[in-house]
Amino acid sequence: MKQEIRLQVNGDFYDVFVKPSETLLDVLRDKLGLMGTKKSCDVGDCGACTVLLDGEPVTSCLTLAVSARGKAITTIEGVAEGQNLHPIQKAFVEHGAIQCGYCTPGMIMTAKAFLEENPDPTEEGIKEAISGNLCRCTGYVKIIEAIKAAAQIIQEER
Amino acid sequence: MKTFEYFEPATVSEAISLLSKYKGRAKVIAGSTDLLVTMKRKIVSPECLINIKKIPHLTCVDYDEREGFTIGALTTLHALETSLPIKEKINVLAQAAHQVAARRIRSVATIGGNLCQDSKCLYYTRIHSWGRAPCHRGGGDICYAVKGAKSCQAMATAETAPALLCLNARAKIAGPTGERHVALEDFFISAGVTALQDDEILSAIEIPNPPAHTGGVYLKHSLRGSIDFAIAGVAVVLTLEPRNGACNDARISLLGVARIPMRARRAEGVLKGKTVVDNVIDQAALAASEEARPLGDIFGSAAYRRKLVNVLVKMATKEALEGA
Repeated sequence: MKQEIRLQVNGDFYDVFVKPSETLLDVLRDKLGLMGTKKSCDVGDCGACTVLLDGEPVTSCLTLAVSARGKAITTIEGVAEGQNLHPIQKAFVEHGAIQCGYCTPGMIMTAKAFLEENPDPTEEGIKEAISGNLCRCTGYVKIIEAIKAAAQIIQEER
Repeated sequence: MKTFEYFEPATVSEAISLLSKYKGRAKVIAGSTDLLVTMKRKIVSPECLINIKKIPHLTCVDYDEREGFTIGALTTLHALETSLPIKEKINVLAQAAHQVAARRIRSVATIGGNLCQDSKCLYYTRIHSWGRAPCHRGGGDICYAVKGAKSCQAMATAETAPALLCLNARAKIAGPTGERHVALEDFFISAGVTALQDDEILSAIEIPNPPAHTGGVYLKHSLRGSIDFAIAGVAVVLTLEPRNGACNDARISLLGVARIPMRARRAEGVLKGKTVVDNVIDQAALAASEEARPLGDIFGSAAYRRKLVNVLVKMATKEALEGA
């Protein structure tokens, strides 16, 4: 039985008809056309589908869309400000932290939430923070470098 | 996933009425990081999901010097790992919560859900896609993990259980006739099966105030540094005698090496009353590994899991000593 729900994504409000069984991941991609969030394992193991719910990282493939009502959802599409990339995005590009790009949105959402709580992280802290996000291409080194560099730039811009 | 009726009750009694109405055909969700996986795999297809996340008063970490802690069942694992009173007084629980899954799971996963989580047996969770008959847990009458077994032999994976067992926790359960309490040791029946009836929900975990000079540690071993369940998990909580450093009380609990989270009572007996020096620790660790009754699987054979218990009990005991 479909019902109409209102979702707040990246500051915009969307009214969509959903079945209770539809996940937030599927609604973002298939109903809202926000395909930046990737569907990879679809069972919560890989982290590619990571989005922010009220600023906290969550696994959108294991979140029912109906349960996300009333929450501020942030996806990768909401990270840049218009044409201006977020420092984390810039750092990923500049440090070669993107190969196929499939893990990247999930990595960036995780990193964004992490740096907001830990503005001056250690390398170990960064590794632990991204430990829920798998990458099959890069070997993680450049991703960690990019996050460390972004942390510094964000601090300097403050 | 098959579709279902969906409710977001505002109160505990509303939730319980719904559960009573649906008589076992409804399931409760909160963080939804456990149930949705089994539903996606079509292992379970409940007619109705009752999302209890919106119920107030079930998210709390209350501390009282005499009564100890009352932790609402909907308190997230992230709230537990960052709670100052918990880190200060019962740090073993913060450690255990911290080692569950990953940050993106802990944001929404609750302590109640962690304790009530379903079986992770590789057969139970995959059997549908292999086209085989359901196992005991799935409503059938066969066990694929242990040939000929007449009941489910899978091991429970509730990561916060060992720490809570060492802290003498008890479960507060809400049902149609009111509230009841169950010692956590009696809460676990088998993997994915708890003392909860179809019309009850876990509302809180109560932990008595630990005595002074108590230190506890939770260690786990898994393949991946995050997400993976423990191949073996060990919690050790020691209370020391301040005058001479002898062990007044020792509680050791193991996960991943028996059907339900267990206390290693012989190992505890080795430590109690003694000065905890290396050879005593070695004896306790050996006793714990012998008390464990693990099932082997691709993540670890029974022998390997016993070895892990030996190593982890040694490491955890040494670390707990330092914190006591």
